[in-house]
Amino acid sequence: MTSNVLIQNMAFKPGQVMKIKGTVAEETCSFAFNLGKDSQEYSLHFNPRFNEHGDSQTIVCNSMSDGVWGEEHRDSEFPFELGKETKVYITYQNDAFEIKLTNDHVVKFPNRYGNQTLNHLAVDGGFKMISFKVL
Amino acid sequence: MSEFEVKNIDLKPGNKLKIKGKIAGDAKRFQIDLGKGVNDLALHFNPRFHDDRDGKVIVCNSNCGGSWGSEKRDSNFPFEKGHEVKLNVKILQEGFEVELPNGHTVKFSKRFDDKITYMRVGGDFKVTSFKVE
Repeated sequence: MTSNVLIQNMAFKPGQVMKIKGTVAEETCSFAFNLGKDSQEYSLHFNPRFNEHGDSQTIVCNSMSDGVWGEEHRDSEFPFELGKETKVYITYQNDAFEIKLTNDHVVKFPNRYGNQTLNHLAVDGGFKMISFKVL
Repeated sequence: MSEFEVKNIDLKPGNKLKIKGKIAGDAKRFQIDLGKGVNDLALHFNPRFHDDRDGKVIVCNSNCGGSWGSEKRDSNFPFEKGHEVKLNVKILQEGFEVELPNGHTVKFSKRFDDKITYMRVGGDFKVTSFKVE
């Protein structure tokens, strides 16, 4: 099992933008950013899938509370490439998360848990973080 | 204040950490810790604004299984309360070099040969950006 980067207590608040830069693994089915209040509640699960769970080159977003997943949101824009560097900008708004990709496409996902400070960012799967910034 | 923590990061000689943040207006101290966990620190970098002995001073140390090593003190202190500051931490084969905002470098030797997988920024300092190069 590979262990992945976990960032805690970065105090991400509505109105702020988070920039995550990293390299996608040479071989991976998918990677994910889990952003939430803590490890039990993800306001945003952002999961680009190269080839996983029947999805190919699809971004799946969802939310999770107490282990229960919400309704999935899918986007077919997929500017990610195996082994390549990429960056995403996550804007935290009162009503939604806007995730800007390298091709300037914006994935919009509803903010289902309201305006709370998000202190937990867990990277999962084939993604090696290079930099992290709250703007 | 809750501490900014990064776990499962794999830092190797040659890596450089860039940490930007703001020192609290009423700051007493802050710290950058690097190691394997809270009680296994290869580098504890700790600027103090009101040290009992030296006043403004940077104290560096290591911690092995909860036991502190011997302190290394540096009187170069380019920090001001309420100010934004950038710190660069270079990870070398033999130790660490922390570049201060005034260009001065604080060096600290590695005392045990462990992997660096944990980072924490604690005390009166709010991290705004963090980068590994």
